[in-house]
Amino acid sequence: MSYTLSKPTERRRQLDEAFSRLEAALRAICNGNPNPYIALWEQSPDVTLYGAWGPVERGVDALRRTFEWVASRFTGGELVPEYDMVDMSGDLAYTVGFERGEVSVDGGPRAPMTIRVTHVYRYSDGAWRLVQRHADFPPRDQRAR
Amino acid sequence: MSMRFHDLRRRAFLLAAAIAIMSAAALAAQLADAQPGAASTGLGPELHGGLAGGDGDRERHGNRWHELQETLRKTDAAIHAITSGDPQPYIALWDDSPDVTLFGAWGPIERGPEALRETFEWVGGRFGPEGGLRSEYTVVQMSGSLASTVGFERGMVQVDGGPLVPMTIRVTHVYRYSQGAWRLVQRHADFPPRDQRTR
Repeated sequence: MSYTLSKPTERRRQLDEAFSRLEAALRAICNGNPNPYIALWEQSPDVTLYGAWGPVERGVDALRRTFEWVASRFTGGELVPEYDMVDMSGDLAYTVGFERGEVSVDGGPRAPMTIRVTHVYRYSDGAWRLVQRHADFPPRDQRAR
Repeated sequence: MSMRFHDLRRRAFLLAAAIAIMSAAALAAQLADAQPGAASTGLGPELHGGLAGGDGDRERHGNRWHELQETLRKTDAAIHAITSGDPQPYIALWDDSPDVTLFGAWGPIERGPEALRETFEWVGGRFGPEGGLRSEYTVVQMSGSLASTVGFERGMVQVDGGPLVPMTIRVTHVYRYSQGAWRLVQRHADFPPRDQRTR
């Protein structure tokens, strides 16, 4: 069997691989190991983080230190990504969704956690790599309804 | 300069732009002067990125890049308008597609043009005419028909008839090129949470 996948289809398949790696990396960081998540990021001065626990960081070194701190606070549990929106074009892709699960923080009991997440990926060196994470805990909706 | 960064700058069709924190007054001038492919340390208030490929690619993607800069100026003006009471210019920047999405700083989680329009009308209705936020862009990415910006919206605002108070929002915007223009498809906005690290 010999056929060649068109480039967009191949890119989309590689994006699904990146999502699989992210799912495993989230499980790892919730259990104290930040390295799989760190490995998903591009080695670039332009990578950026708006973290749910407050960090505003830029550059691969600052992000690595931040994720090491994040992992040091998680003491078990699991967060699973869900995607409401995925799109890609050229060398850029983004996802809009949630990370949900039950986690233990700072040695406390397992409790539900939900994070709103926008991830931006850039295709470089043959793979999709994270370049931006915007994460926050869903604020109370201030509309009266 | 590492090999890695050298490669980065040569990447085909990719523009990575970094604009260091800049004043609102300087924004238009900075964008007007920016040239895709110009090198920079990333520390100054200029754009940097890389364009590879032939002259045809440069021309084609240079036009998209120029249009994106125009759109970012429109976004800045529209954000100032909505945060001083008029949501219409911001509503007009959005793609007319069912998959547009919003994670709003005041809590809304919405999808689709109608839901977003209603939400932005509510947002605009809370802001008084005296204030207004300006946009700052930390990193701008563009490739193919997608672009993203990471930055802040900052300024003084009146909310629910109150006095002028400072407001800062962390913002990720995603744009899609459709029907001949860059249009917003995602906004993720939040008030910067207290940094829980002790330092």
